[in-house]
Amino acid sequence: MNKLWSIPCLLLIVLAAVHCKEHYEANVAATQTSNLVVEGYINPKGFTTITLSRTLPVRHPDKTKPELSALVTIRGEDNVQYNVRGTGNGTYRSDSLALNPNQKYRLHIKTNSGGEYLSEYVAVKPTPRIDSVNWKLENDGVHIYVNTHDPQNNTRYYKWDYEETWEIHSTYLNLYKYVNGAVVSSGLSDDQLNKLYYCWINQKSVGILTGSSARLSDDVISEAPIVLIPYASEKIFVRYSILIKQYALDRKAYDFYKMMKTNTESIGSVFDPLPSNLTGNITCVSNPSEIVIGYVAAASVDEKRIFISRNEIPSTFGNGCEITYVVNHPDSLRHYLGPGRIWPYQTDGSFPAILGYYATYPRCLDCTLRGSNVKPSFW
Amino acid sequence: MKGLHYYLSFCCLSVAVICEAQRTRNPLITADFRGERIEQFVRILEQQTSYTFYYNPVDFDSFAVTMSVKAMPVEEVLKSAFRYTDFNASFDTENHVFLTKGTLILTKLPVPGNRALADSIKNARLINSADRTGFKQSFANEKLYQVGLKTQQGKENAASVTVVVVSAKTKEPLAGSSVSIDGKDLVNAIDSTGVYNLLVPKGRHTLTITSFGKKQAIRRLIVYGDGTLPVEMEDEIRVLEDVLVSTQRNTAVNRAPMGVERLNIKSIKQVPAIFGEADVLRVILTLPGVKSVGEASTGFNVRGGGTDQNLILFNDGTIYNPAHFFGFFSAFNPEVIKDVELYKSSIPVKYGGRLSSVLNITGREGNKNKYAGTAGVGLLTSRINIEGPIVKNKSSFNFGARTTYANWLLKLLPDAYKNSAASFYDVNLLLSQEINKKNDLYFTGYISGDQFRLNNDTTFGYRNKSASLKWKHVFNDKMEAVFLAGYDGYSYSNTSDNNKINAYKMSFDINQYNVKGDFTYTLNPKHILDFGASSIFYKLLPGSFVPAGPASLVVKNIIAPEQALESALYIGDRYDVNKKLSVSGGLRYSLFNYIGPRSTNVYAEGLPKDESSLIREAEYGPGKVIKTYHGPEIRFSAKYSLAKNTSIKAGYNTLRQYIHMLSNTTAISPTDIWKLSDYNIRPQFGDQVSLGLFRNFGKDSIETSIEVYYKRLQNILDYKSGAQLVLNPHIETDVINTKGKAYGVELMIKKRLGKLNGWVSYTFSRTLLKMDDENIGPVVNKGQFYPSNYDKPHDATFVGNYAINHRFSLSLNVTYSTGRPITLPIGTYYYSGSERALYSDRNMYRIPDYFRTDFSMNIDGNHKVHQLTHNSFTIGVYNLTGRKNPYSVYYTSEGGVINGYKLSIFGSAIPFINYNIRF
Repeated sequence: MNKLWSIPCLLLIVLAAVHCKEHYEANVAATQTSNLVVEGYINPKGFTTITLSRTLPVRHPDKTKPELSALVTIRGEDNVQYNVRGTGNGTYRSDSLALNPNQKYRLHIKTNSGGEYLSEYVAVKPTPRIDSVNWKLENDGVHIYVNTHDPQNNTRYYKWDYEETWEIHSTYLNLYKYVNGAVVSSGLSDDQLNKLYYCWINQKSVGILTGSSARLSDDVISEAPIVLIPYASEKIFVRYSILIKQYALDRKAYDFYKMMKTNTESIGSVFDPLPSNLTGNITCVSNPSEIVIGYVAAASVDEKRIFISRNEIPSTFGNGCEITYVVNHPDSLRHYLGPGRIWPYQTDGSFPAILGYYATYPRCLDCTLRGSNVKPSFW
Repeated sequence: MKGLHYYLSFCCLSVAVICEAQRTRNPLITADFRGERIEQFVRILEQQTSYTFYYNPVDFDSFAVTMSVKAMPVEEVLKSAFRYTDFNASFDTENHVFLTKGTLILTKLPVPGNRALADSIKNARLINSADRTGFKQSFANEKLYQVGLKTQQGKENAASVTVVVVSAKTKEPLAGSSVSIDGKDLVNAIDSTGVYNLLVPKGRHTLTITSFGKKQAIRRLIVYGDGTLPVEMEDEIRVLEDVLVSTQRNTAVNRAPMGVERLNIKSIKQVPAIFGEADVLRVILTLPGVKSVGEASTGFNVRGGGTDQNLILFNDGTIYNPAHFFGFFSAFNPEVIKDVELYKSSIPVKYGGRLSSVLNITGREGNKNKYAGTAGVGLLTSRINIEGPIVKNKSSFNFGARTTYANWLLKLLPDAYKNSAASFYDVNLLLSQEINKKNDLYFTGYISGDQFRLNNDTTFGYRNKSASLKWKHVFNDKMEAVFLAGYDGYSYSNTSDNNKINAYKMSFDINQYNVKGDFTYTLNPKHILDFGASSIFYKLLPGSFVPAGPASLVVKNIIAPEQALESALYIGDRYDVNKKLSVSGGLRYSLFNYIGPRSTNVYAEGLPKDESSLIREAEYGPGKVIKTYHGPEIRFSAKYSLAKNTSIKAGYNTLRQYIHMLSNTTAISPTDIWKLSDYNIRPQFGDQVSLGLFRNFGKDSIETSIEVYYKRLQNILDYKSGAQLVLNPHIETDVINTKGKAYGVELMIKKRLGKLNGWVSYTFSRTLLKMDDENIGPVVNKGQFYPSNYDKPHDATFVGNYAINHRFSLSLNVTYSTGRPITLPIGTYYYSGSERALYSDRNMYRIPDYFRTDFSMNIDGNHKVHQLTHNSFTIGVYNLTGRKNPYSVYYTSEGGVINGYKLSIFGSAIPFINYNIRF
């Protein structure tokens, strides 16, 4: 269903043969914006996590500006209150709650600077179970889809987040190191070597994924596209896993996300809509004209994880680990293997008649430079 | 030299005639005729003179003469006897006299400039065109034409002469010809059908007719009464160095209406166009006051109006989507177009229904004399045109078709799009039939369609259809009428069938049925009344969404059809008060009925229209009027001549629009829909005042003008954030009414003729919108005026064509404009895993300025008249400087970070070649 609404942006592709797109930074006067941004769901069954931040001027070096030491509470229509406590870095977390599904709830925020914010009351929306997560091999890579349905035909609007995890391997074992002008054994135990060889990368979704069955007779989501992994991606070189989280949305929340997506992701082509005002469900009580970004919905979450193994995928990943032969001469060694340069991993000839060393990029020998060597619990 | 030559030959002939007269010694007649029949009459004359008379007794069977003459020359006797009849007498040098009825026998070879000869033909009757096909222009120029019957001679001193100017070759009427009588230009000789009404004193006159690309025609007239004079204009194959044919004498300076641009297809073809295909709409965009948002859009904005505020007519048929292939081509085949008129300000009273402009595209009637055709081959399109008589000199057809083979372009795209396909076509058929002198019938059929499919998923298709039958009837010399009945349709249909569960077909349809009657009543040449009535019945299918394929779970969703009747009554008056002052005023009363069957939502007054303010749903049965809107529209313009070549003009116009395009993209896109005004959506209203100064230089060869205007727009539709426009059964909750104002000054210098011709224009204009009513919805930009998407304050264009010789010409087109307004990020925030843009108030920034140069060379094959085919090439470069003109600047979140981009439709110079054959 997503497709229907993003149709126009596809049209421009035809123009690809003649059109031209280039990076551009408009000369926009730096405006000091500092609006509150509220992200998160009220979770009726479990922990509610809310993130508070502030908007930043364009081209600001920081990515985010967390809003610290705010007082956040979940308030029910029946006047119950639950604290959502700051855990640092702008993240606020409640205790594991069991909210009354027949009540409406909202979020109250009081910032350190005295601003008071309220979201609209929202009904608790139960999220249906994910039926399945499937994947298909297409020309351009592995497409992962989600399928769900609501037998009550009540949900209609859905949002998904996902977390990808994949195992990576170093290309070579980290057996040597260059210290004080000479190459010596790295002196690592098998276990330590393995810790530099086996790693996992974890990545959260970056886009807004929504779907709707509003136009269908049954509340069925069939193969909503979640992610596309090109065959050349390292993600599917060893083993890959994706955890998909599904949230039920009401119509207003769905419109909010769709609008945010339109404004910030699918924009710019000839037939795309123009950016328009983004109105969430949070207002500043102390200054009603202040723009607040965010929509706080109340929905439970359903998760599903799948694994994809290397032997199921025709991977075309190339490790890009270029090998350099370094002659065993102090000058050569210093030139190639000095600090910030490449690392040796194999000898040419055996000690003491070593002619030279094979060396490659550090990332090909130490996977912790790219990921974590702590095996995820689900692996 | 030529003048001297004529002068000499004239002298010689005069002398010769005098000598001859002396030698003949005209005998005198004395007789008393008492009801003599022709035989008796001739015998008496033969008895008293040495003349021998020749005649056909059958022609003279109704002849009888009763008169008494005494010592009267024989010519005078004949003249008196034949007065008030169509009998003629010709004398030759051998004392032979030929008596004829109707046609005159010429006894001398015509010699240019010989007035004496013309004088000798006393009673020349008007000869109809069918009899004169063999006559050469030079002869026609010297002949004396009688207009009206002598017998008609009444008391009035003036008579109405209708001059019908047609091409000698094709018999097509020549519009925009200039007619002058006795050396004086006719101020209001402006007509699109080539018919000119003159009021002249009875007696002798010299009429000079000039028409673009034709030899000047001179007609010597003797006017006895009201009558018609057909004038056939011969093609001017060669332009002589020493003859300056000053055509288009009725230039802008002399006309009362303002803000009118006329282009014939010849000048349109000279302007370089992308891919070499002459394009009506691209040329329109070079005119002052006409703008577009960018290159991939054929929609255009006139004086601050929206793209849906232009009434685009092809032979009176409304064309809703005038673009092919994402706007790269306009949907009009240049081979079947005769000319194009754009009304920006003084919109004739017979047109209505759109706020900003009327673009009237007139199709070319087929050649009534012989079969002809053209074929063109371009990089992306091919076209063909065949025309010819059905019954010679009576009826003709003109057929044109175009198609594309753009798929090769798509093959160049990355593999992911290899399943894409795009095609378009358009087909035109124009038929014309002359029933008799007073009745003509015209049929126009038009269909254009586009179909494209991207990457094997969704197929988009849209189609314009139009068919009309027009009957032109001349009641008498003063009154004529055009009656039209037609159907116009626009529809689109998008299908997606990749995912079997979600497979759908989405479609939209407009159907309109028109009837109109348009009358022109010429009180006298200085005073013309136009009046009439028109009615359009609309039937819209606002949207349907149906499953495609048996596995599809899509719910059939069909929005109830909309019906409406838009009617208008109008009267307009064009009046030349005196030589200096002309006024043109009109009143159009339009009436719009939104008709059931349909259910309508009724909302609480003064509250934003949404689900919470919905009071009830009202159901209306078939034919029940749900809502009526009506009101007068004023059209007024006046011209005052300060000098022969200088005039000032002023105008005031109001217009109403009852059908609206819903689109929240900047360009016309194939998913835009149209919506009728209904219970909740009010009609748009606009008014405009304009003022202009016009001056011609150098024998009217250079026209200059300055026009200023101020325009107000009311109830134009804007959209709430996140508006759902497609398949929305309650669109009124997603749209808001906006006010607008536009003002500007337009400067134009135009040289129509000569080796170097073209125009330079500069426009300063602003278009501002305002949404400040909190009762309607959230205010935009704090309720302040903000620039519209197509607000481009500075705009300058040069269009030039230089003919190096008759076979080789160069064309150059240079355009500059301020970048259009856009909304840019003023901040960033982090949400849903990505850095995102926080937008400024609407349209507070601009994209970089636009500048483009196009160049083309037109090479004609040899100009020998008698050859099977004529060939020509057009070679050129679009965007010669290769400037990457931005279409838009935008910021998008990719992989978690914001990236800014500048999108150019054409990132480099684009060469093109086009090959044309005429046969």
